[in-house]
Amino acid sequence: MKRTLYECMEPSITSAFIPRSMDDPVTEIQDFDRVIQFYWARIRRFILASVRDRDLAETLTQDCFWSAYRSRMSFRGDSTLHAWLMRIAINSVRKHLRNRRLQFWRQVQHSAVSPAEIADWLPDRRISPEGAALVQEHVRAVWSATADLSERQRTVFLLRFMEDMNIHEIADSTGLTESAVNVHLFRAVRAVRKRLGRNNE
Amino acid sequence: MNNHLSQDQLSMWILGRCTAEELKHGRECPQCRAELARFETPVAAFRSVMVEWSDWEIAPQIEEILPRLRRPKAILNTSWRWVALCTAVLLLTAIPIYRQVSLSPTVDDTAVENADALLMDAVNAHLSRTIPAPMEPIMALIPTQEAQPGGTQ
Repeated sequence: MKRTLYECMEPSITSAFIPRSMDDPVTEIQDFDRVIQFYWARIRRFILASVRDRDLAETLTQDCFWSAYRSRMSFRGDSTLHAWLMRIAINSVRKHLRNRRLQFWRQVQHSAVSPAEIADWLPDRRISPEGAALVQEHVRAVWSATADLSERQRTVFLLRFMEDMNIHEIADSTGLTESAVNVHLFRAVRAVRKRLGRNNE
Repeated sequence: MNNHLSQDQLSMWILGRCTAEELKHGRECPQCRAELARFETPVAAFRSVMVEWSDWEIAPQIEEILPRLRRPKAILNTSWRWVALCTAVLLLTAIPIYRQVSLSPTVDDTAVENADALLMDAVNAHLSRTIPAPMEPIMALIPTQEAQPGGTQ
């Protein structure tokens, strides 16, 4: 039986909502609005870490939710809503990166996010200046290390270590087999460790 | 376990794909623990920062997104731009070559033109006859008015 978008959201989220009929377009829009409210930040975060351009991340996130909205009726509920949305986001990023390879005259990103800028988003404002400097250094190092990964390795790395998704969910989102995810993840971890080790020396 | 974890074992430990013995060693050995922390600490900091940043982001309402998403798409996407560019280059090179080839008269064209001219001459000659062609030898025997001395007026 086909599940509604609501039913595929995480239990902590769905418990706050009353499942409603998806037949009424007005209700549908309202339902999808809640989907956006809950998943927007996650999807945008993943896209930003993948493309490293603020404006582009905004555009691709919008495109992602627009695609999800258009194909919401084809969502069968085989995977979680998060994995489904992430799959759309991954495809958007991949499509963009593939096109960018051909756009050699548009290599410069005007709104590119620098590692220093990322490092300024400190989670705890009460942290000491020394602690803040250390965290900034760590963030900068990981941001730079993931930039060197291949597109697929970066995707699985971000899904595992930033989005905290398990192997099964990553496989669902990327369309890879679980063993392929494990291989890419292992290579990504090895490369990042090597890069981080070099920074520490 | 006397030996420390190898680099690959450390990576597998991070991914949670290690044996119970390796797991125990990774937790208890200070040297391997430090090696693991060299990865775990920066990655944890990265995650916290990214999550913190995204939590500050306010998701738009669907009414705000949908009209913006319905903006007209670019007339041509990148791949079609390349196709259009290649087609234009091909046309620009092909047209002068074609014109050059088509303007230069060939041997066949000259022969056809000569044959046409001969045919037109033959047609003109036929049309300008006053009497049918078989009658021409007979008419040659009949003296013309100009040839008769004192011919009737």
